[in-house]
Amino acid sequence: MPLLVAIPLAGGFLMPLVARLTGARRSAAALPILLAAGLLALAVWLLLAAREPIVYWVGGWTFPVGISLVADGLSRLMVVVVAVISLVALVFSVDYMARFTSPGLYYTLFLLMLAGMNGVVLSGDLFNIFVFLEVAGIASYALVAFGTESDELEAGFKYLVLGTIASTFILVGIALVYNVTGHLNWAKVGEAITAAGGPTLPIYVAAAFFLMGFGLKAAMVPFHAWLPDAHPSAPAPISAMLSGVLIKASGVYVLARLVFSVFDGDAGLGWVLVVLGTLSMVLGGLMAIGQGDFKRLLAYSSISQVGYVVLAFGAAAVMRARGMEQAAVGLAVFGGLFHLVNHAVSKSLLFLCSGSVEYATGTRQLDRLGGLGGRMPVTAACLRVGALSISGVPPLGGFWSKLIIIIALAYMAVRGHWAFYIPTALAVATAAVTLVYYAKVQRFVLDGEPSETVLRAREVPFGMRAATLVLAVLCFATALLVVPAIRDRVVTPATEIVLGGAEAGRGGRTITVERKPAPPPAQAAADAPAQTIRLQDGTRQGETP
Amino acid sequence: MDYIRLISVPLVAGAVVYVLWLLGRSRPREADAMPSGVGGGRPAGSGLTQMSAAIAVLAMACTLVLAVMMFRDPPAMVARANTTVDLGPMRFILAFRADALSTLVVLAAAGIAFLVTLYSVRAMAEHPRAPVFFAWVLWTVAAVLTAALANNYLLLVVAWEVATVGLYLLVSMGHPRGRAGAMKTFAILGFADVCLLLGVVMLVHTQGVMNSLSLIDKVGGNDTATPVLAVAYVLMTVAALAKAGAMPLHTWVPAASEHSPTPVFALLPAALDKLLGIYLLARITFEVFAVSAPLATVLMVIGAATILLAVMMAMIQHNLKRLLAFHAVSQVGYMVLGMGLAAYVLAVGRASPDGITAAQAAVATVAFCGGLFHMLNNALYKGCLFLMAGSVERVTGTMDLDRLGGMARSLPVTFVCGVVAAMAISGVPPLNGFVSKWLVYNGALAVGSGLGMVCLVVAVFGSALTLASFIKVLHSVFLGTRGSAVPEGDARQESGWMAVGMVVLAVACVGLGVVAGPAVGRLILPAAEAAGIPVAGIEAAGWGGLALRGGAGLWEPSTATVLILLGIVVGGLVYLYSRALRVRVVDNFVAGEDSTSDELWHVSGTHFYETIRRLPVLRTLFSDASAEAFDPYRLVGRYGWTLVEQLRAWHTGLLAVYASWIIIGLVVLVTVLALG
Repeated sequence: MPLLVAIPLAGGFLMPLVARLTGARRSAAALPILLAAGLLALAVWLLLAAREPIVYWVGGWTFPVGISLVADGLSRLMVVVVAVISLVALVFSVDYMARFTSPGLYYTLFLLMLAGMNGVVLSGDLFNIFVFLEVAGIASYALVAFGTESDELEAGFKYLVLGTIASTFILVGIALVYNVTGHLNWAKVGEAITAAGGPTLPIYVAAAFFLMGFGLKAAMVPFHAWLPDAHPSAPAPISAMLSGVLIKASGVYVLARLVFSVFDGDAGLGWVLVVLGTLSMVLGGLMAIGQGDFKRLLAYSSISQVGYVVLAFGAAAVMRARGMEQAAVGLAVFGGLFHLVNHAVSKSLLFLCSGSVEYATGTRQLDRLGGLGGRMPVTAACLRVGALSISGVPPLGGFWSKLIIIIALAYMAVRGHWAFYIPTALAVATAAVTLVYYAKVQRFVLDGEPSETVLRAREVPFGMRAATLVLAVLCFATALLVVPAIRDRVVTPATEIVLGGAEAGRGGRTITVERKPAPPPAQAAADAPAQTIRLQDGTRQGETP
Repeated sequence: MDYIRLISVPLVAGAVVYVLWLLGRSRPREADAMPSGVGGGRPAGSGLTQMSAAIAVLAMACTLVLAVMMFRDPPAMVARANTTVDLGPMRFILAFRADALSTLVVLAAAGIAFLVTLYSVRAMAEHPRAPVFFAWVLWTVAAVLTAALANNYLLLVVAWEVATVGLYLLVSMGHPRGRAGAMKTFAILGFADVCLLLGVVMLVHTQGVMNSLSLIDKVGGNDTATPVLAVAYVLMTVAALAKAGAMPLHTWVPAASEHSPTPVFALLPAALDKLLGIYLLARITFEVFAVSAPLATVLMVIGAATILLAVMMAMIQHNLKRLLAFHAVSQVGYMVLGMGLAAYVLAVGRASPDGITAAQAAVATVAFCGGLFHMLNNALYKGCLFLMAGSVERVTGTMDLDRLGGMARSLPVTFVCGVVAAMAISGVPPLNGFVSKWLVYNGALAVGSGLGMVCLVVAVFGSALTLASFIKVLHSVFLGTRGSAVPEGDARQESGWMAVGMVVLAVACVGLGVVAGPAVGRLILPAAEAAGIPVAGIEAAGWGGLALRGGAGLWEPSTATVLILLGIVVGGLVYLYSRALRVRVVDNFVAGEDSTSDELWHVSGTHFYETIRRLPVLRTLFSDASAEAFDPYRLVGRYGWTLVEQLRAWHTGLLAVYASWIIIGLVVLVTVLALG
């Protein structure tokens, strides 16, 4: 299991060497693709092999100094999602990144980001979450600015500044928690809080810091402002990674973990999540309608869809605290996780398609596109599938997750608290809004008469088509997660972890300890900024400086 | 098993067609270096198109046979336990039932779909993506059949939404300029779909453990006096009315009509979507809910308003398809009015201490049967009218009434079928449209409230305006001198494939009118009983007639038909007599010009009703309505856009602003959590 972190981290350090050997050729992608494929195999094996949580103590040290990596149902699900999207994004990169110089740097940063994400979802204590968050964060700051045009640098800088504010508050929050409870391990902190009879004032302040910090990583309104700049500026495969998995691994996942495993599904925090989720869902959706830039629209849509996920988790926390039926609470959690998976797949698909469209036509302005259906049939079909899935159209995956969230919310409204009518109605209205702005995408990109830019367009290379096709098939396949047999195998362990609250959270038993220390994460964090400086030669080919 | 078989025939056939297209397309496309764009170049393989058309027709024929079998011998209800998907408080399960109402809808849907597919063989032959068209038509029909047979709320919602997507993708296959209409269709219907979803979810949650399988037939009589149930009913009604195209959510119908392929429009918005919408309205209004009188009144008003306003918009249109689309909206009004009247009478009956009396039950039955029969009739004559439009469009390439004219010679079959359908839609006896409207009028008369009388007047007036507007259509398209878009010469230009569909539909219009009694008795009354109406009213009487059970005759088509035939015979005699007289025929000259010149003397019918349009108050209303000032889609768009602009204005892109949002947000969070 530590291999999940170690492989990409080691790969990240090997990558400059490999790049030196291969030069700027496409073969530079071979190593990261192989590594990501290996990770995927490992993650799937982990998901299907065992049901109990696996705990690994790095270096053999245990409490209180040891660093633990824990793979329970929730982490395993996240690891699989991360691995799938990374692999597809890397395959897409082979042709897409051929237009950029220094693939070595690109793949190095990519692998570091991957290592960071895997680290976040596997770490068993708060401080290591912070460390891995920074690894992933710094790699992503650099990747956003990878094109080194003025827009991209500006977006990267904003992202850097706001992300750092968030990290600072997270660190302060961790310090507060450590000060009060004396622990950093998830389970121990949770136990300490439960033992103290619920959160006290300093813990609540720390919780507010966490909500803000991780809320920023998850792009919750009003902490979302970096995302619409950062996600469109990055190269398309990176946008897919950022929107598809990074905001979930470093934002939503940690929030869910905190609220359920550490704070034991505290109702107050649940309500805050409901409010934040509703705000993000509605405002993100409304802002998406007004966008004329394809990738910016997708970025706002990410805010909106992640709002659904957070809303579902918040509702689950409130329902659980009010003692509603387990089936209904479980449904809310399942809906949230399911939507997370669906959104990862379909939003990555859409970002990759936007990359293909930009690759072929050179523009991402919606009003300059049109009639792509006839020119680029494969990309157009994939784009259509992704858009329909995220707008919630049966039988695609996105329909089922949205359906489940709405069922759970309405159940809470009818049988629980009247105030839930508001998020329920807004969730339904936003579903319609989502449909409208994706209808807009389809109208301007796919249908209609081909514009001048489109008439010159040709279908993109095989690698890019293959990547989008795989994700389009996955959009159909995720619908199968609703089938009980598959759901019980894949998502239910994760649901149970969330539902179980503090007891089912961390802790567990210690299993075999391997003498194989992972590279110190702090070193990675220190190395990453150095690479951002070297990025300056990452100019695009074919453009005169 | 019967259910699965019926639904899987179009489903599998659609998949086969689609796979064939995927396989067959790749070869020619790689062969030619210049791939053909949308609407340009030759179809990817006309052999492929023919094969997919053949498969589609065959599959539709099988579906029709199976639908007839199901109608004659409805299978028992099934709920396939091994397909259950447990979603906590709700279940998704393949549960079906075939009562008289759903089998009626299935029969009508399969019949129309078969005819339209037959028609599409010719109409879509030149379309570059014809196989995809057939695949989506087959899938959409499968979805409609599923929705009509579903006995599980979630299954209904899924099938309902698939039908929406099918419509959207089919509409967007039309002319490239139609993309705005396609988007509008998808936006409005998508909104309606999520309304349905929310309504269903709320309803099932209130029913709770009583209905843990989420079966539609499980619990009836949810009284809409409870606020939650009233909201659920309203939400579901919004979905039904939007699908059927009643006001105020009708605006997608004309928007989609203009540039979508004609068979698509004849199939879905004109026929199948109406069947589905009215089916759901009937189900929820009479079986699932016990609707209160105020809500039923709203339904009546919506129906009456739809009849009148839509037909007035239809009168001023210059585009034939758009005109027909407004009629498609207007006719829904009769169905909604019929249902509203029935619901109102039943609600009054339930509220009174001695329950629903026999007289009230009779009134409700008459009104409901009128509405439901009108749904069936509308599918027939509206389908026929759209096929007529398609036939005209194939020859002339335009739908602009100003450029058409004098086509009766070149398209005689189309003309006759058009006349029959136009008479039927205008409610001319003894055609089917008259019978159903007559039943609705009777219901409005007997409902015993002032509003009922108003509705009656509006409905009759609307019917007159319908006739007026079809006189304009028939004149503009078929009569008068040749329009500028009509090709020279009097050669016959009928297409056999296209004529079959029209003739069958026109004959059905006449048939259902002349033998109205057995038709209502066999088709409509069982459906009314299945929908939960206390059937006490009408029965077949005499030769094709209808009578109130044990009471006076409602309508006696035999006498009327004989009289009308007599009138036609007399008229024919007079005509022959005048032909027999020797009349000198000379060329006309007016002011030295040859008066047979088409360019100079072409009188288009589009200005027949200019006077009405220019009446003082109506003028402003018409110009506002034409500018879509009353279109909810446009209104929501406009105000929504202002909101969006405001939000965008806040996103200045300044780092300091964003950082301050974060800090403010943090302060609020700390305050809330620390104090709360």
